[in-house]
Amino acid sequence: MNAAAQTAPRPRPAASDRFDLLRVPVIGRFLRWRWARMAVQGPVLVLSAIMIAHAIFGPQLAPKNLGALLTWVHFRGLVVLFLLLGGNFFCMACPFMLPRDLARRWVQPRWAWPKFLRTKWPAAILFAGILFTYEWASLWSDPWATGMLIIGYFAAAFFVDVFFKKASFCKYVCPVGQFNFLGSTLSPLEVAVREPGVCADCRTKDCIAGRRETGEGIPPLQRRIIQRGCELELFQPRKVGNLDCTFCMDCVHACPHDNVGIMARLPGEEIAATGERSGIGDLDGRGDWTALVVVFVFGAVLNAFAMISPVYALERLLSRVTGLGGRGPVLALLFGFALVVEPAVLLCGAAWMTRRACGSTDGLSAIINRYARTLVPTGFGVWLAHYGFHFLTGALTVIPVAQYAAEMATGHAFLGMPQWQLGGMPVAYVYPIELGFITVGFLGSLAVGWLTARRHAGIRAIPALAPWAAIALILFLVACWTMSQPMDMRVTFIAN
Amino acid sequence: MLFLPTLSATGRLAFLAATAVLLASGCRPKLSSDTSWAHAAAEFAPNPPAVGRAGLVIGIKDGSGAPVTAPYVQVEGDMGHAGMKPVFAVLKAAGHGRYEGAIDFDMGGDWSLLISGTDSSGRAFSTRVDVPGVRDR
Repeated sequence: MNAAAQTAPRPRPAASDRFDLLRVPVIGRFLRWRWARMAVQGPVLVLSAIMIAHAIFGPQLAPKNLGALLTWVHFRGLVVLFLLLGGNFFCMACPFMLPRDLARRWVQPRWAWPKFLRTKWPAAILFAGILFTYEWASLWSDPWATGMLIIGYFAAAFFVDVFFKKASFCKYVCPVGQFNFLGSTLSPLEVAVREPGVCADCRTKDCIAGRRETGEGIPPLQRRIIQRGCELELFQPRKVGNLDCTFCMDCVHACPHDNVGIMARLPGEEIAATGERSGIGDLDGRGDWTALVVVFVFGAVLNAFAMISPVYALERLLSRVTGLGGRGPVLALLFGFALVVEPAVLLCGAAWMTRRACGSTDGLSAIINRYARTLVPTGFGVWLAHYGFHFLTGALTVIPVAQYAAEMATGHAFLGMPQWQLGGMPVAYVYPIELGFITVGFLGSLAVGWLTARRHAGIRAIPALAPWAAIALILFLVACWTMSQPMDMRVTFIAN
Repeated sequence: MLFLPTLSATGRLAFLAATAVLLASGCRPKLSSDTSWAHAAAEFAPNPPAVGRAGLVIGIKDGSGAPVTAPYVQVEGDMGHAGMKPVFAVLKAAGHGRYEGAIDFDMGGDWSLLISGTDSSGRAFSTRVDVPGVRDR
């Protein structure tokens, strides 16, 4: 028996043995309801409108502004917690899709997304761009800019999906979606087929094709769609895990056999899966996915590092050494090093060592693509620690800020006088939780890395994995040190 | 708008959405709206201030440079990051438009103090003082 066969994924338990959220009373019934997604998106859209209005017209002090507070504290914190405890439910509730869905009732997009852009490169670059803009423009302290960012998101989603077919924005553009896709690889739930045998006998493939009206004399593709299939091109029987899945429930509604559920699974296992994935292909050959992973993992550490005192000392040092003035060029240098140079050196070095260690004839790029994604759990642990910190220490501030906003907007304190003493958990209590998140992420990377190495290197799994475990350890230690530093939030930058 | 009727439905939608975005983006409020007739300057002990309790003396003058007299002033300290709760202090009058007390900075970084009160003639005032770079201990 070869190594691959020895370490092949365990056969999935029968569907009846797996937890299925859609079988849970009340919640399952709600999620199976045809209008469930819209029922969730609607309130989030209203909330987004309030956030935009307050961001633009409200007080320009971030801790007192609903737009800034809900975006940078509550949205980010709840996203990572939902991903950790459930699945990609924030993409399900995405309000950006509602205006485009309404527009598509009257206007059908004409064009397919350009072939040369059907990769994750645009999204990876946008993701890095958002992280850079966040630091450069101090978005965390700028309600107006935060409001413009939200409007920009709505506009981008609207324009892309009004002109281009299917879910082009979600699949190829949206940086938040890509974050959720990678984070949801660690989620305990996935949208999956209940009984594979049922799919084998299916002839209509509605989960991918959708359903159209029947009509004599009208070509099939010109008939009106009455139920969408997966707009992200994930064919359920061959779908692996949560990558590219927005939990939109279109496949659930489309399946005529009621054979799609939200099933429990082993978090992270899909990262080590090999072979073709529906709508994605073979990740071992997808450098664009690796670029996305690099931004996700190294960006997590960089984003956290940018919130502590040493970053200012480093910026001053870079400014002095290079002669660069202003925060933009110095930050660009920092980002270039952290998101390009450092990962390139580490990943190429690790791939070279892995190839030598197991005598592989695979190219370096294939090895990088295969092992780099094992760092996703470490990156997710750092995002959890960082966003969790802001959420846990500031969750209750939404109460006085909402009270203040209501009073300012109406002249009446109908929500009560602002209770400014409300904050969240003390920093000292949150610190161990942060360390716990980072540690679990690091251990997750080791576990996924082990699965990957066993699958590809067999008995030489340990030396094959060692360089990648070393990178995960470096990231883990840097993250622990970063979280141990007191937070230091500055808007100013003093060059030289 | 004359060319609107010649656009397709998609084009009209795109045009209207783009117009809405441009309109919304053109109305940035002033970041600092210090419209008060009073102006303040702050001194700290230690100077520069560090995380923890800091002695605070604030001098307040009106537009002509005359000291503003009030029995006390309220100070609200805010950080730039969303999710940070404010800290409060009350400073007692020490004469000649100066007010003394202490404030508890609970995190390093940039702070902004909102100083408000009512002078002896009953006029309310509020003004801001930026406190950049409160040090970590």
